[in-house]
Amino acid sequence: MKLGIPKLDKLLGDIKPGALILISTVGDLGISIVIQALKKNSGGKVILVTSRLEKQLKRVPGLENSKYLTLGKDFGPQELFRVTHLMKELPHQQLIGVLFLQPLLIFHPPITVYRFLLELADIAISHDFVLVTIIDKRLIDDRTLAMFEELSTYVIDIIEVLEGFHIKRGIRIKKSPNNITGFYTLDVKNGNADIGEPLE
Amino acid sequence: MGRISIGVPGLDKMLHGGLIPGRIYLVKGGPGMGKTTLSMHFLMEGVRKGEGALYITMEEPAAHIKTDMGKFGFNVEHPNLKIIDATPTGTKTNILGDIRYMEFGISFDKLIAGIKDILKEERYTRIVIDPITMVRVILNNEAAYRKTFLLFVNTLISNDATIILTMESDEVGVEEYLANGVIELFKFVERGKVLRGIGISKFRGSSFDEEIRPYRITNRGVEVYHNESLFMGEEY
Repeated sequence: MKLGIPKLDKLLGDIKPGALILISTVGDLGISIVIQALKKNSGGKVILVTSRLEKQLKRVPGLENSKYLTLGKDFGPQELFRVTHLMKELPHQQLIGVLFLQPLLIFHPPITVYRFLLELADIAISHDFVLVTIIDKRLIDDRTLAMFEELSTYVIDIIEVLEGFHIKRGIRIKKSPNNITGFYTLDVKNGNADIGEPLE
Repeated sequence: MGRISIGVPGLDKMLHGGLIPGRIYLVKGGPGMGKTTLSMHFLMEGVRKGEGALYITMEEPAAHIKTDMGKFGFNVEHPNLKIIDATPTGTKTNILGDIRYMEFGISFDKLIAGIKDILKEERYTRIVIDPITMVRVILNNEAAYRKTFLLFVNTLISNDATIILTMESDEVGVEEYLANGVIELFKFVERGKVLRGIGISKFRGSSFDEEIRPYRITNRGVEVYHNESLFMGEEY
């Protein structure tokens, strides 16, 4: 499978079913990568979102036919088991965008969120899903981030560096069965992620 | 060893195939946790298979039980289901033949004798007493209660029926030691929301799922998610 962002796909190589792709980021940076991947994917796609984000995504062209599993409307945060239960009933070979780890980390201790993601990762393997998720690394400590990274097949690391009044954004492949990379420039224009040249 | 369904598919999975028939089981849980509903699933599963099922309510009036359980879709008027009201409500005094409610307060033997008579008249393969706690309250004497409870257990066992007794979760009594299996209903509250968990703490003669699994009470009754986990942090 490809994410639909040529430069990133080249860096990642072919993504096999059962993979968990973790985008370790700052804020919402990187969500455009997930959205682009979902839009480009012609097969089944499911998005795990908060109800607020669901409203936004439903207006995005290309995501109208996605299936949404919504946290906070259909499921309370205490009912994460219903998400895993529904996931197991989905047809195999879906692309799953998990976009609610951030609010989960606010509502729940990191170990709870880790156990939840671990369960999702197991379901991905048994159902040939590809999971793409983003996590704001400011919400967790290094140890917890290491746990999430260990769980993932791929880790895409996004950083933001302030140089005077200039913001420089970088992206790298931190973990992959294929190869890891150094940082490349990252720009987000009109909701699309654009990966440029290697950063010195 | 043969198994019988408890009437809740997810719980049957947790029991690794269902209950072992002819034994006594305890369902423990706080108020509103679904003890009665779970018990009714067990009885109606028997009714569905053409068995006779006996429900003895010691706390909630039978009329309320019928109304409440009917809302879950249980056919509480089915001729194979007998509901006995053993509660001290209204003007009713006779609860089992000529046995009066107040006599329970004097002797638990009366209840046993009454049930014996019922079992002589008709064959019931599934029996629920809900809650057994009430009997303890009535007897108000631990030694007497233990003695009569043992007698009670032996009486029921000798009739080859499978029995479910319900009791409140904060109690640990002789019932727990004598029962062949204990199913517990747990409630966790976080940020004003309730998460329900079901666990098996004892099941003689069988392996079982040792993890507490989530369950919900829906308009179809109790649903157990035997493949799912309760996602809770280490502080629990």
